[in-house]
Amino acid sequence: MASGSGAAAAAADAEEKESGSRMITLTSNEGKAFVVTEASARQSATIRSMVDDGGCVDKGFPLPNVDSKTLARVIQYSDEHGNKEPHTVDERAALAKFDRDFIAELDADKAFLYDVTMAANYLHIQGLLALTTQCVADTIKGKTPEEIRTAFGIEYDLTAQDEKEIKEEDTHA
Amino acid sequence: MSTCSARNSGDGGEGVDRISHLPEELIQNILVRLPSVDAAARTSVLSRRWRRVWTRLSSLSFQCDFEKPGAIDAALAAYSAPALNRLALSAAHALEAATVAPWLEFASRRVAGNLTLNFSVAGGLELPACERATSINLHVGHLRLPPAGSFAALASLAIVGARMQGGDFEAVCSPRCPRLRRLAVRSVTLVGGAADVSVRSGSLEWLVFMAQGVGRLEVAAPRLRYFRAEAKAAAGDVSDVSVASPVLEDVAWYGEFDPRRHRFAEAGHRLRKLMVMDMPTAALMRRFYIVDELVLSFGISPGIRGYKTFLNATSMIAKCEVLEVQVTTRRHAFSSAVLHLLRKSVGVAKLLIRLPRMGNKSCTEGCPCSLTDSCNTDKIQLDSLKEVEILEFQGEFNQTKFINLLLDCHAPILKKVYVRIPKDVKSISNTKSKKIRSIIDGHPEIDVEFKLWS
Repeated sequence: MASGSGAAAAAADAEEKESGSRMITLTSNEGKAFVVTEASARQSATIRSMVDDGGCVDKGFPLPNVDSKTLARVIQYSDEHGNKEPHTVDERAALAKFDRDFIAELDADKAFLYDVTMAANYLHIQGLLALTTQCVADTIKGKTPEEIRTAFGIEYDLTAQDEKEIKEEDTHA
Repeated sequence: MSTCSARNSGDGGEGVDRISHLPEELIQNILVRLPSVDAAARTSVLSRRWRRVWTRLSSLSFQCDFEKPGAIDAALAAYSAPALNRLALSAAHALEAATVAPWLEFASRRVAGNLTLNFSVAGGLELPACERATSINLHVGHLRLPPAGSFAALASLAIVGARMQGGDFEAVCSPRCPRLRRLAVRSVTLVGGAADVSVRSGSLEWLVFMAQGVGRLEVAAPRLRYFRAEAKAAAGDVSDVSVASPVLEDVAWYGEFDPRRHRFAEAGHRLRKLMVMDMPTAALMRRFYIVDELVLSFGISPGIRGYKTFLNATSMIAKCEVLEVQVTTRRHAFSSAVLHLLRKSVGVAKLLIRLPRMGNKSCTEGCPCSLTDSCNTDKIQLDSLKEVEILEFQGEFNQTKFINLLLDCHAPILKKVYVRIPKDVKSISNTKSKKIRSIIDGHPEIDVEFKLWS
């Protein structure tokens, strides 16, 4: 029915030559180097524009704002989204499941979630940024202010003046 | 993303407040993902860090059924950034003009991106000129566009389901909308009998105009490449349409095409894509007779008479490289109709056919396939045909028979036939599989590939 495995491998080869054969080195702020495919690196609009501007692909890209642990996790996301292009319903479902599992793990470690959010913002990885900020929004959703403060460890520091203003705003609305 | 809301209490247990240390743009990014502006505004009381962050959000979306109009007024009044990227206002019920006036005033001054309005106003809504908006979507019942003022930044305008005056389209023309590239007018009713509409734009590239009550539609747009139209006249009449664009490349027409009343000035006879959406439109192929991609979609009435109407309408088919055919009809008329189109076609290299449900029963009395030669493939020369793609194959006998007829046509360079089976087809019976197998075996020079298609 479908074409043989030889043809499939050849097609994969051709595809790799086209987009992902170049490897790109990303270096964390701790000096650790990560080698990724160009397709994976291009998930980041920041790196994409540097590559397209004829930047120093060979020298690699130092990322002074990202530590190794965070970078490894960001690359896990970029690999999944950059190296595979989902064509069928099943492939899209698999990718959606990857996202769910990925964010559930991060959600369990809020401090790390913020690190990844900051990195996604710095690297302009829109899909990852949407995933992490939506996750935080979901935690806020449906909670009273007191519950939100508890959930995030936010300290109540409003002054009497602030409280007066809030009262006034409330009567307007 | 329920995984995130499920587990939450205790995460701040260590007392380290990381979220408040995120830069404001990220906190905003989180707040715009809350279900309402109201929910975002409530975070204003969390701590000093969160005070008024929501009043600088780049995107505001209000659903008036959940938020009282007064709350929207207060939120807009509290908004503190000079401009916003998106403002969306919607309501399921009609609103008073006085209620929406301050919202529209706010929109006209502050929206520097997308403005979406989805509500109707008692007595009609008059959109103010929005100098900075780059795209506007209106789903607003009775609509008036402003008689003066400009939309200097507007690149895309969509008007859906509105009732309007024909003369209002003056507002979208060149001097007042100097950057307008896309205009979509869908399900719009023009009031006041047969209305004249004139769209003159030096920037317009993409136009969908689907309206009724049109007396005359005049489009003068030298950069117009993409055009979709359905200009229904007032009852019992035909509208006049004239389109002047030298660079048209993609055209679809719905309803009757009458070359005496529907004119394409300045355009050549060649298009990149032409969609002929029913038989009354078929005459459009005499205006544009060379196209790269031709889409033919016909519904044929049952019986010999309906079929003959189809034959008459399709006596000439535009020359095309890619031909996509969709014919809705009863049973066999499909095979003979498609064979007829192939007989009339010239130069087709790729053929795409969407199969209807055809059943397993054999031919009934009065079927078009009983007409002499209607299913005869002898004289069908498909000299350029290289590839065929057949969609929606369910395994029915008559569908299989059709594929067999197609493979019997004289197509000397045809190498590949893809047959797509929809995902919901669970299995194809043994007898049907055998029949399919015998057809494939009967045409060893053609590679036929069956594939489940999602």
